[in-house]
Amino acid sequence: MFPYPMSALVPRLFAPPLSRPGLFPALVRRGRCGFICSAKGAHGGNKKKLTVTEKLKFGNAAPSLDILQAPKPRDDEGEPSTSGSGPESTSRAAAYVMESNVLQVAWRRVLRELSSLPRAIAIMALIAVLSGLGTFIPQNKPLDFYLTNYPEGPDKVLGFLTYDLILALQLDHLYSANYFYLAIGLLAASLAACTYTRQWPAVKVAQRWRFITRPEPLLKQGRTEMLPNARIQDLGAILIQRGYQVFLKDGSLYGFKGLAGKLGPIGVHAALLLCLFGTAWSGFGTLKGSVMCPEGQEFEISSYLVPSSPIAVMPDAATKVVHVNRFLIDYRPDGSVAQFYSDLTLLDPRDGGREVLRKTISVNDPFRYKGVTMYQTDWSLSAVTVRVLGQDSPLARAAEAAQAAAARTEDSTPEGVATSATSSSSGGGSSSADTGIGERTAFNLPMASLEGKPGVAGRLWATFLPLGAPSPDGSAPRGISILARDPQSVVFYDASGQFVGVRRPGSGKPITVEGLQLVVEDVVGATGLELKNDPGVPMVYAGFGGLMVTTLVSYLSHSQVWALQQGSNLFVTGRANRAKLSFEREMDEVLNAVPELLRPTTATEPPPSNAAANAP
Amino acid sequence: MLLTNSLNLEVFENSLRNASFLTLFVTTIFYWIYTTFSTGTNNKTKKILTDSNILYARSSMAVSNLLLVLLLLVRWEISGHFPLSNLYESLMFLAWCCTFLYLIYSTSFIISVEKILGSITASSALLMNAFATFSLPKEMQQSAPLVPALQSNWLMMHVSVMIISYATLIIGSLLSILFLILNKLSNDKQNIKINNMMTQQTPNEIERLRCDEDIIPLPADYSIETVKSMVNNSILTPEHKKDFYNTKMTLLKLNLDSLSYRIIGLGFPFLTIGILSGAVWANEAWGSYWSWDPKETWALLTWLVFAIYLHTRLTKGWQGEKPAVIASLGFIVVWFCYLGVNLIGEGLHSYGFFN
Repeated sequence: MFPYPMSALVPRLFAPPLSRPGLFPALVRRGRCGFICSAKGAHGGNKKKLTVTEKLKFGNAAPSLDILQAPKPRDDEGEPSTSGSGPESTSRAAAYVMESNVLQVAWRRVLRELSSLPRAIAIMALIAVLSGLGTFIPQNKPLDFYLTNYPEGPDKVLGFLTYDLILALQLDHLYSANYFYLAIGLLAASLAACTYTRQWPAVKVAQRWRFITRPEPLLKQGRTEMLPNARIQDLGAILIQRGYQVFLKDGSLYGFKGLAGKLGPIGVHAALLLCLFGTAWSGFGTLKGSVMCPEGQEFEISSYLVPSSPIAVMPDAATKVVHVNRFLIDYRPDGSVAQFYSDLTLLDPRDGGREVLRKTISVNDPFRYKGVTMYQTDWSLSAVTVRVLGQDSPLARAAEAAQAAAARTEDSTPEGVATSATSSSSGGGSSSADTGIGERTAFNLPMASLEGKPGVAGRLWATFLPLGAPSPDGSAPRGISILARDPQSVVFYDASGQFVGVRRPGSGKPITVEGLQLVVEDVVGATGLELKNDPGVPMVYAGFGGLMVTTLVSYLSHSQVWALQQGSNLFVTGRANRAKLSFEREMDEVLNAVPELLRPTTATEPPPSNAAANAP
Repeated sequence: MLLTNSLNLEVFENSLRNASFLTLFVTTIFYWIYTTFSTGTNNKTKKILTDSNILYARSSMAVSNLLLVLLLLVRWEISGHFPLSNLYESLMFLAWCCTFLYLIYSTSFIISVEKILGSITASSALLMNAFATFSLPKEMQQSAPLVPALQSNWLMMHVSVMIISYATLIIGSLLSILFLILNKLSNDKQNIKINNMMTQQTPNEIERLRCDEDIIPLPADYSIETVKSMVNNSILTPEHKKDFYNTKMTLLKLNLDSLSYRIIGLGFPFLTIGILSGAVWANEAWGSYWSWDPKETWALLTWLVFAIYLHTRLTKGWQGEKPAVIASLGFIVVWFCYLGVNLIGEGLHSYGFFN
């Protein structure tokens, strides 16, 4: 097999301007990166021997000088001969540098700054520090939280951290602060620049077949073995058996394996960029909101989807209406919650309320329809249905009083245990005393949440069944207080605030409070749903998948083997970028397997030693 | 019948709990004695612990590994869900990962490095086990049914991969810390000077070095040609144990460097997969794949620190000390990510550690 010139095989990354044929690619091959990067001092004084790749980037002398000097003959440099570039490239490169304008110089400088590794590490460290900082200061709290917890004055937190400082530095919303976005943007730019200027050229170099024509550069590569009485073709055959791609030319051999190991890091960077762009798209294009909908009610999706930016597009599915058929909490025998279930139906109002989709969702199992997803995230109690047994006069009075109280649902009555109906449910109305005699006794009482009120621990809902009209001075009427923490049990307190008893909804067991016989029929729950339309998710998922795969692929070892036949001696060397130990072992095995040719004609030669002896 | 069954399982779990602690304790003592007293080089009369005795230590580690597996399986049986739902179970899983890590890498390196790895993993596993068994309140050790948010198949994947990554990163960083300590103690330069090491080794010592170094792996940045030539071409003269000690010490540090690089290199993809699977799970459960929850943020921080570590090793070619400093910083970060974040209190991950 004969090698092809690189330019014919690998598509040019950047087409040179027509007026300067061949200059740009020459710069790339000869060390455009070297021109950019070595000005910073070649990785901070690393004394490690340069690999082939790096030699190509930097050359054997400082490239910035090289480019401006007259071209030297290349034969005595001892570098592996390349196929395609010649001594003319240096002078052309010099001329090119003279002619480049300010913009290109600036662009190259920007690329150099961005792709420098210490800078990238500094950016990563900066993002790390800022992220960590945000975990110590609670984020996105209301203003008075910071006023209370980070006060001015003698007891400043840590001696200097006041709410002033926090708000001024945007530490209360650090993850959406502009400097944080800037840092992430810099990281993205650094990733892109690094791939552009370092990784991609390195892959292109790795793809070229580099033939070594003299023993000296072979010996410079690292461990070199010399096999007497061996043929290069045998070595090539053995390497092919081991999965190498082998190229032979004029007694010189080049083989490589595992090119994916070189491409892996590029893939990692590309996947990271995909993730970052996906999150940016999510940041601008997401619509989300939350709704607390009682059983039996419905809502239109679009009324609850709030766009996160003006360019977010409301999806078509948002015109549909969701009807909550049922909300159910599954309890275990010990009282803990096993699961929350919401039975939802999606209706199309423009199609006469036709049912489009019906699904029972739970936590970890959301409702999906054409880009809109609804998650089960919360719940509350919406109303309690209480039936009063018997038909005596307190009942009628209670009914009238309840209707009067309903007329004043806007007024809140701070005294007493329960406030008037302020629940978010779209009005089960107040007590709706039904018309029929037998049904006159059922009250559907909306419940309000007392969570967070003084003296209340945890979640608590309450409602109030008044037994008389409110007094003329505006104080609350006498009544029965009904409380519940969950749909399992309802607690009754009498008009003086004394505990009376607990009943389980649906048990049918009456309780006597203030002379009335009450039966709790049902507790109506409300399901808390989180609605979301996030267009960036597919891109982010693609980035995630790519990142997982490419991180693993990056661990593949890219191994290269060079060999040179000189007379009857075979010089072999090789290198690998990862898994060096197993590469060493593999080399040992390969060299052991190369057959030794016996030459009976030469009597002065030393007795043929086993090829195995060459490999320690 | 069912009651006696469950009672038996509970009793079995209790005895497994004690047995695992005991065997880990014995294993730790074993490795510590073995590391301290067995050298075989400087005092020929005191060859109490030969290299073949490593088998006893290895089997002790394997037994404790097995007991931890049994403990987790029994807990799985009792609770009905994958045994990774609270801090106690995750600590046990972490201890198991440490012992398993040792068993994976035990034969890849020379005996002296293996002893050190064994000492570190055994003592880490012991500390985790002891903390879980003796320090955590009893009610936190009970297996409880899962809250609705955890009832998902993602639980198995995300949490186990994260714990595995924690184990590898902790052990790798511990080895880096050890490397730094040895560096300080031995005052060596970063680049190996062949001249300093080549001189004056006795034939027996060379022989032993040759036997050992048959399986010396290549640290990422050093050339094996250097290492081997200094052994093959040395001059045979008696005395100067100090130079030989320097040689051994440098070889040991090379190996530790390489081992910690390999272990952290194993842990980093696991960490990546763990974070990403957590993000996907969060999107399925709560609708947001990244909400800057403290635990998520610190996991990202850990990822960034170890990405910096890998970059300084892979690309910049720093040798020895500087990456080890970064890995040591990573040790603190990993522990804060695992435990410290729960102390901050809020967030989606506070599953009842400190309420």
